[in-house]
Amino acid sequence: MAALPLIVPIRFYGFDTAIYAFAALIGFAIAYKAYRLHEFSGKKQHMCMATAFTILSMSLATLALTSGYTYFSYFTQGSCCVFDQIFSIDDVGYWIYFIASIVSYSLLVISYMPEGKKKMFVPAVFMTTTYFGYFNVVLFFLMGFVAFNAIRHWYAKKNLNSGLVASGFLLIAAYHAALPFAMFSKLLYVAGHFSLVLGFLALLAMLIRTTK
Amino acid sequence: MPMVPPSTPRETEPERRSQVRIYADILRLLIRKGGCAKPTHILYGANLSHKRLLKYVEILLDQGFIEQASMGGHMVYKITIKGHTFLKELKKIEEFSEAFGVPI
Repeated sequence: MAALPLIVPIRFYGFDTAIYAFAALIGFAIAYKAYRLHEFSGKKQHMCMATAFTILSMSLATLALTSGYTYFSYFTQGSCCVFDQIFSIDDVGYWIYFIASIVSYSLLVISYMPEGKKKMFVPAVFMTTTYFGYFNVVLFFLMGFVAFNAIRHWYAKKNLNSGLVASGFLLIAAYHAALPFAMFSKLLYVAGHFSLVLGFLALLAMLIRTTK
Repeated sequence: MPMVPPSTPRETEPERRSQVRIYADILRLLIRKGGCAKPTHILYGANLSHKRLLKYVEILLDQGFIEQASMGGHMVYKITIKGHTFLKELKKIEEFSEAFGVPI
């Protein structure tokens, strides 16, 4: 894994897997609704949103599978599936998740950019052994931009649904802000994951309110 | 599930956006008029030219969102159940897009 291993509280084992799976399901539901929106409007902006949530959900589902397998191996065999001294199946999941999240958040950033000012940008990705912290910092800034736009929209509209979306994105950004420090404190690992699940719960609440 | 008629030509984005709005405006006008209205009422109510009215009415007829009927010797257009469903679905979709701040 990373240069410094993550400190996961033993009582929290498996909960993070459940959180990833739960978030993936909500993400797929939002992706479907965003796709319906695209069917109505035909706008590329909405297609970007649908694609972003699809990619994010698929990566979260992958992370749920790999972390679930890691915990399963640990509890049944007492060890994790490792490819070499530093690279495990968990790392494969994290790499897929981080790359896919960067693509997904970039698409969300594009969908929040004003018309005519959309430019594809590729955040610099360096191969590094301390990838865990690095990726989370990049993802924090990308999601921070999306959250900032959603908060600005909520401030202009002041309705509950846009407030739920803004808080959802803000909590997901907080998850990425907390994780680089999870190497030093297990409390931050738990807090980060609670932030992630609360973020997706806020998005779920909005989805239910707009589907009724 | 209702959606924007696929037979609609995909043109530029502002044109397409206005098309969805125009479908909704026509259907909402019909509801306001008690479910049916004469072509001239639609023309003024939805603020359309005669040419565009014919174009959109034809699309709505093709999709089954409205139907032709006769009332007091006059031809009128009536909103159908499918038209009502389309409007309901559009309202939900508008709420969703409004929540994200990415309007239709």
